[in-house]
Amino acid sequence: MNVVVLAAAAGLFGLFRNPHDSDIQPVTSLVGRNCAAAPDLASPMVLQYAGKEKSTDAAIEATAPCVLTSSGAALYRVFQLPPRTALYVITVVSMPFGASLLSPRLLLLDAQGTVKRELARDDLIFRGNDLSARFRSHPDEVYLVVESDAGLVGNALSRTAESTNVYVSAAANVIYSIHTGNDVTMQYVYSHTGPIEITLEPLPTPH
Amino acid sequence: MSRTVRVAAAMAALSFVVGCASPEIPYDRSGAGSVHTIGVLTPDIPEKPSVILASDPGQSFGLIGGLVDVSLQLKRDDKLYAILLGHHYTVGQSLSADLVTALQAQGFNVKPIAVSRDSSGFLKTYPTEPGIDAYLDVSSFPDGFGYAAAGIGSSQPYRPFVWLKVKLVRASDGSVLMQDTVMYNPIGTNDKWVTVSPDPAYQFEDFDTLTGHADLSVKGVDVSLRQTADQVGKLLR
Repeated sequence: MNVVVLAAAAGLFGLFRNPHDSDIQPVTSLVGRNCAAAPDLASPMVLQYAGKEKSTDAAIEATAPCVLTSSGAALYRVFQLPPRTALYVITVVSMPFGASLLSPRLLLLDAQGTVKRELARDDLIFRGNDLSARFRSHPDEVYLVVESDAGLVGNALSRTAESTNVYVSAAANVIYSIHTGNDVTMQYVYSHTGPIEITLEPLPTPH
Repeated sequence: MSRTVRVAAAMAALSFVVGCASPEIPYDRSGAGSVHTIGVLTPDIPEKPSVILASDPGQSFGLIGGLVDVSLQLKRDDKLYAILLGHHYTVGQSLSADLVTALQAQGFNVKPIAVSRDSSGFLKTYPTEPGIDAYLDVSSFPDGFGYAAAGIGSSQPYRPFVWLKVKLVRASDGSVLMQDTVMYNPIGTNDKWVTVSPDPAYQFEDFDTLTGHADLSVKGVDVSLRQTADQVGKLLR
């Protein structure tokens, strides 16, 4: 039988997405690292935003600077928020990589480095397979510090996702489809490192 | 509703999971003004559960196979509904109580507000109850809750699901303070939905096993509603 696979369509409602492809290595111990008492705000990564949705890929890698937190040593990265008075929405997403996941702790600081808001643990939610925080900007917040949550690193997390696939094929001038299901339980270990994505966008209009 | 219409509605229901996207509006507690008391409106959720087998060989046989599948699903729906009725379990009341508890856990004063809904979806206008600062409006997808299996076989068990759209509306001016979609065990992924992983304590290798463990299957529905409501509460932190 001459079967030609025309398409392997992604799931009926979207496939369980593969963990993020990344060269980042998981880190669960910072023993031996010399950690500062506070984040160094001197060289932030500047986030661009011109009023339209803008995403920035970044990562906390093993070489990231280290800071002492109340939960222990953590890796971090500093971002500078755009100087806008108009309200916008900030979304910070941590994507699984391999069997690891960064649980971020987010600090929003003013120009003097004073912490105005902190988002962690229950403030973070899964959207799809990614752990994220989504919040509105405040005009007095200048810096966003993304830290690893030292209190969670090394702990395990299990998540189950169901999905379906539709494969469309043709044989003897007949097109047919094959429907299959996926039921996948992924085990993750929280890491100090991981890929992140930061998106700035206007506050959506409800409908 | 005639059986033909129900079949068509059930077939259309799954596609709503993809099609009905509402923009996600994050709540800002410090910027929301003086929201202390939230009125939890009677949730819009079907009384009857859905038992979805998301993929099976019948779907490979076009419209006829699809209609047969939907017919089989409606029979499964009826069986689970009978189990819930036998346990005097009312999903609307349970979800409403869970939402009240979840919002109280976030420090709000909460008052259930009874409303009648002429159609599914968010309300077009909101009540004017004295002392209420904002209203929580919860509307499920057409397949609002029940059990779903990705496919046939013990490796793809039936697990509870709850699929909700939620909105918090300021009482004084109707402005939307929060809006999101909360999916407990969605079939497929969407990186915009708040996604709650199903509790592994409530999974059944096939539908006969599910119906053969009536107490556990009802508890699975109850737990999925509570965990979904908890997630709704966390959106208002």
